[in-house]
Amino acid sequence: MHVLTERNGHFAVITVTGDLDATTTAQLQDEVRAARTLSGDLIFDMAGMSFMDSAGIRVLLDAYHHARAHGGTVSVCAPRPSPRKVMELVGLAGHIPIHDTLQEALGG
Amino acid sequence: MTDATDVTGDLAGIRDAVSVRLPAASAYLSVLRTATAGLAARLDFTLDEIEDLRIAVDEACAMLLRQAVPGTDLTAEFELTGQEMSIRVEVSTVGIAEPKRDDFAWMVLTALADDVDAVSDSPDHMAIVLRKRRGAARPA
Repeated sequence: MHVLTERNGHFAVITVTGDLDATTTAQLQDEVRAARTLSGDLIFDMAGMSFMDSAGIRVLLDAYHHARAHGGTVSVCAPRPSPRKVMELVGLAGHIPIHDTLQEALGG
Repeated sequence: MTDATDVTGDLAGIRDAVSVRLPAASAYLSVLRTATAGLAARLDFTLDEIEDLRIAVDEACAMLLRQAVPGTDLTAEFELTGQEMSIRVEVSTVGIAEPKRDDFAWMVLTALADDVDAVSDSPDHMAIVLRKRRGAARPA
């Protein structure tokens, strides 16, 4: 997995590439903490993310709870069908907005 | 059409059993996902079904690895019959261990596989057996 954070408008955009599983969640968790120093409004750009399991769900949920407690936001953009399905299976899709494109996430 | 029928007919007669033994460490999850996808492709599972299996096996193994004794192995036994893939994954534990059934991993696993059984009857071992049938979600 490769992860990169950039500021875009008032958002911190965390771009995840590759597989997000039990071996890579700690790395993403660190990245999320660093991203919060740029902005409390996080977007996870998943266009290049080929795999996500429930370990990834826990990172997203942590980010969501932290944002709710501190007045920030969390959204996801461009997930491939498989990560999208996992998010929908656990009901995460009802809490975290899923946008089709980064542009849409930035505009929302 | 004739070709497709013939291929299905051939596969229906195959009984493949494949065992994979790996260190019980999450670094090997991606290897098992790849093996799962490759074997599922042999049964002509759809791409969606292959992806479901890949995720289900990953979740089952990730659950077991949390209870596995460090330095031991994880075994995965894949059995392919004409319409179904059955996978048994097993690790060494300390005493009798049960998978946590109230977390996201179990939720995802049971949603994506047709059948899931946790086998924890023998001390010092825990296994999860999952099965998926080809085309199970679709009307015949």
